[in-house]
This record gives sequence, structure tokens and C-alpha cells, in this order.
Amino acid sequence: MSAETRRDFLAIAAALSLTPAVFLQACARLAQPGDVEADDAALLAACQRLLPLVDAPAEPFLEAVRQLDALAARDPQAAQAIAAGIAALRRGRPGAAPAGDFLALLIATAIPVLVNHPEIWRVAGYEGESYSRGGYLLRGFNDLAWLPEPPADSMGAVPSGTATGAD
Amino acid sequence: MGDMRFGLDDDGVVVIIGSGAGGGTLANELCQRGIRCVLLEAGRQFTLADFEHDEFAMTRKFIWPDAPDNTSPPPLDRERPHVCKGVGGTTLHWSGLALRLEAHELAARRSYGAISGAALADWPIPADELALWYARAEEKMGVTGTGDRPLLPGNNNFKVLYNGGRQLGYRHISTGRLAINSRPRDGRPACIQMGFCLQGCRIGAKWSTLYTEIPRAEATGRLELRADCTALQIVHDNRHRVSGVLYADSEGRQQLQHARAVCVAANSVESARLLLNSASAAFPDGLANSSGQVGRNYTSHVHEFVMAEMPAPVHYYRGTVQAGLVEDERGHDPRRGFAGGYLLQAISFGLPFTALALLPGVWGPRLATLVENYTHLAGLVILGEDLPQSDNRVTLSSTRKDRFGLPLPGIHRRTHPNDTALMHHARERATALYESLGARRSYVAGSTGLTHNLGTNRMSRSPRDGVVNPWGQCHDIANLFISDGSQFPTSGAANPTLTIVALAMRQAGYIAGQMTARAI
Repeated sequence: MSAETRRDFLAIAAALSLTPAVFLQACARLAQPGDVEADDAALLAACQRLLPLVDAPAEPFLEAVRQLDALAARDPQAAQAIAAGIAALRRGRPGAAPAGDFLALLIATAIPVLVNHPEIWRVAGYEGESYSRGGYLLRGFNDLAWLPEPPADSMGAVPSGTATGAD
Repeated sequence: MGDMRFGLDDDGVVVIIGSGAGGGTLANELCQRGIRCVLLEAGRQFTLADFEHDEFAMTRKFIWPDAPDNTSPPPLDRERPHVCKGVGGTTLHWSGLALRLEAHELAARRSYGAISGAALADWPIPADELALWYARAEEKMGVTGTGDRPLLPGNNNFKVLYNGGRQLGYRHISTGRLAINSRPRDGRPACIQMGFCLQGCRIGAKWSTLYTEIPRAEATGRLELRADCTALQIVHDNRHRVSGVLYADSEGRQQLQHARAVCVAANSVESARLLLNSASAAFPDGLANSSGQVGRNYTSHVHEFVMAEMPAPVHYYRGTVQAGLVEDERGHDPRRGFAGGYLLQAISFGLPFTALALLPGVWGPRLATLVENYTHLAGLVILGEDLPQSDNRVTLSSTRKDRFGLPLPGIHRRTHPNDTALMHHARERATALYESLGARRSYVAGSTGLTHNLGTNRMSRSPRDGVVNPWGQCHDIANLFISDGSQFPTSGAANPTLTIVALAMRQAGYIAGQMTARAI
């Protein structure tokens, strides 16, 4: 039940870059009660259900599991909710969804990790931080061309010497 | 940085509590008039380099962590009023929209008539007099679309707002009046469309007292800024005069700064709380509260986010966050079924805030759909007049205390039927705006709180009806002033910062006059 074991699982999952669902189903089938690696596999599967992207990168979900493990390590109440949630998933029929306190904890902890992760941003097409690249003034802030350009009395000119995007 | 130091026993200084739009501006205006000031700020000093393009990190940095004790019924039970602590206050976080209140809003009681359950009042300041101060505030802050300052260019989110607005027949649509430089001005650069306006402007193109008013006040040699200093209690020497402010310094030690006058500008929730926490034998119901109005008529704005997945990419996060304004629904038109009006204001968030704001607590395929179509989102926020209600109020929590052992604010607000009718209308119009351009899906979401906290120390002509007179001077105590949005008798439909700045500029001349005349 060591923290090292948990890290091993996550490291292997990250290194192999396997389609996590396949990997997780294999882990879960082989699971013995109290098996930490199987617990992490179940957590990973639960996190993937929170945000079932068509083209899902692995790392954000592994990071969410790391954060849940870290939370469990410092907060006994959270640890209990996670353990109970995993046990309930195991007892339930295949494909059962997380529920109750466990689900609330996943929503509060894992979703912020996922939506704040650069690899999820890449899937979403969000470019994030812009200061180091001079803002979006020269990088498409007004490049929308599928609608008519608003008239000059509704907005100011783009500062001279800069690209005008759609025009 | 200023290096002026005043003694704790120096009773000639004016102590200002809070360094945002009200307090920061007032400090500079008083210092320019030769008045020595101590500016207490509960948060820390920031530099531009502290402003990260990271929504979560900046929330942790400058949104105050003490959540008020909110006992409101739904839907307001989710709200957690935002208060920014840090030198610059909420001018660190504001979007820059700098809008005047309009004549009908300044005379809400007269314009709307009596409305059951609403404590409507007219502002006791003539609209034409306030207009002069608005013009001065716009000049100070460099507001676009006023004076000779050009509007900001339109970003992609604006193009959607403009075209959808035109489909509905709206005619007053622009990138709006913002205190964000559209060209270099006042030693600060022009906006480079970074996004992240709400996380502190990394280049200082957006006006904030942090790098305008406060350093100018320090340059006079008459301001001592004390950051990391939390006001705990305002103390008085007799029934008619306050004598100083008890505060906790950066080491947590209690200090008493003597004062000739005290000006409270801590944002409405904290300003009312401070007066209530300053109760004494002479003022058992809280300082300056003989009217019983301290904490009452707590208003915000009726607000909701409406975002839509458009048929083609928008990339709404690129560029100035709130450069888009539809003003056609601003007026008072009772045929719509409610009093007062509302604005539609462009707004955008990064992916993290978009997901958490639009789909709070939602997981699974709906969340995945939002993330996968993020680049196609366009968005606006509805901002409408929130009618004052006497029992919507800030009190002291009976159960929860802050780290100094003082009661946290208790908050109780109920939605007025007028708020509901206004929101119903606005939501329909905002959704139609995007549908007119072929939106595939709309998201409508309330928020978990605004920084627009208003009205808890309302202004009135008669001492029976409010806490302060038309100059923000407490009816009960001549040398105690309120210098923030808590003075507002009503909220109007506009973001409050410009009005707070205009009132602070106006108040500074009055305070200086009172001091010269030895009235205080």
C-alpha cells in the first residue's frame, strides 16, 4: 500500500502511453481487493468518465489521479470517500458511474485539474497565456471573417503597423 | 515607493481604509490638496510581474479567502461576493468598463414609481453636477469613447455581439467605454489584446490605482501606504467624532493609528462589516448607524452569463475581455414588464473558468462537448439593475470569525420579482442574439458572485433614511466618511467603478473644505 506503488502505476501508465481505457480494464479485471494499483486504475477510469473526450490525452487524467492521491494522503475524510467510491464501483455492474460523496469529490478536485491542463487546452484549441507572445494583437484577435465587419463608428482602428486579420 | 512615515499618535492625518477605486483615488486627491494621509490596505503590494495569465493562480492571489456567511435562499445561496485584497483593491481585477449612471437610474424612485418590496430612492446629487465629475473621472482614467480617446478595436467576440445585436434591431452597439488605453497614454501602453483582463493587466494598459493614483499620491510626500494592514475597528473619543483606526499590521500586531478623519472604502460588504464591528457603548448598533441602515439595501447587479456555440470558430478568449457593449435595453421601459434596464456586455474566459462557470458541477458528455467546442464559443454577461430591498443586508455572522477573532460578514439577499422579470427578458434576448447567427447551443449560467457590492451605507438627504449625506459624510459623525460603492442609493445597470471614482474626486474637495473651515 505504499505511495511508491501508486507512483509506479502512474509512471508505467504514463510511460506506455497506452489508450488508458484498455489498460484500465485489464488492470481492473486482474484486481484483488486492497490492490493499490487497481485502486488507481479505478480512479483513472472514473476521471476519464468526468471528461470523456473523443481524442483524450493520458497525462491530464494521470495528473488528476495524482492530485486525488495527494488529497487522500493529507485528508482522511477524502481518503475514506475515495475508498468507498472505488468499492462501490467494484460492487456495481460494469460501467456504473461514480456517485455520492465520491462524485462530489471528483468534481471538486479532478475537474479543475483537467480543465486547467495544457494538454486538455490543446484538444480544446485554447492558446492560454499570451503575455510572452505579445498578446493576440498580431495573433488573430480579430481574424473572424465569417460575419460582416462591424462599422468604424462601433469600434476603433487597429493600432497602425499591425495586421488587421480579416480584412 | 513612498518612504513617508507618520507616527501612530499623529492625529492630523486622514486615515483611508482600502486602496481600490474609492480609497486609492481619494488618497491621491487629498494628497494633491496638501492633506496628509495614511492608506491602510488589507492585502499585499503587487507589481505587474505578479499578474500571471493563470485564472486559478490569480484568484488565489487576490480574491480574499474568507467567504461570508451566506444565508440567502436560492439562487443567491451560491453567491460568494468577491472582494479583492491587494494594493489597488478591485481595480486589479475589474474589466475596465467605465460607464456613467443614467438620469433615470439616478432618480429611480421618481422614474419607476413605488414598487412593492423595493426601497427605491433618488440619488441626492443633481445629475448635471454628477456629469461634471464623471467627465473628470473619465479624463483621469483615460476612458475610451470619451474625450478624444478612440474606442478599442473590435475582437472576434465583439464581431459576433455586433452582428447578432443588429439582427435583433439594436443600434447602440460598440466596443464600449473602457478605462483601457486604446493608444499609449499617461505613461502606460495601449492594449495589445492579451485577454486575462480580470487577472490584473500585465502591461498596465487598464487603469488601476496600483500604478496611477497611489504612486502619484506617494510622490507628493504626503501619503503613507501601509499594505498587509487590516482595519479591525474604528474608534471614537466622544459621540460626535472618530479618533482613529485599530488595525492588525503585517505581523498580526494590533496598532492604533490616530486620525483627524477616517474614510472607509473597503468594498460594500467589508465597509458595512467594519462599522458594525466598531459598535461601542455609545453606538451599540454599530458606528454611524442611528438610522439602522448600515448593512441594509445591499445590492449587486442582476447578472447571468450567456454563451453560445457558434457555427464557426470565434476564439473568444483572444483580446480585451469586455470590449463589447449593447446599450439598447438600458432604458426604463415598463412595457417590458419590469422597472430599470440592463446592458449586454461581451465577456470571455479561458477554458478553466469557462468550464467551471458555464457548467458548474457538470461532468460527462456535456462537459466534453463544451471543451471540444471551446473555440466556437461567443459570450456575454447580462448586467441589470438590482432593486434595493431593506432586508437584503450585510450583518455580522453569529457563528463564524476571521483570523483576528472578529465576526465574518453575514449575507442575506432575496431576489425581487422585478429582478426575475428583468432577467427573464434579458436571457431571452441574449439567447436570441446568438441564435440569429446560427448558434448550435446556448449556455446560460448564474455566477458565484460579482465584485459589484453596493448600497450598504446608502446616501440620503435625511439622516433618517440613510447612513451618509450627499458628500459621503456620515450623518452621525462628521469626521467619518464612506468612500466606496456602499454609498450608492441604487445600483443602476452600470459597472460601478466610474461612479465610485467620480464620487471620490468630488468628496476630496468637500473634505479639504471641511478641514480648512475647521468643521472637522
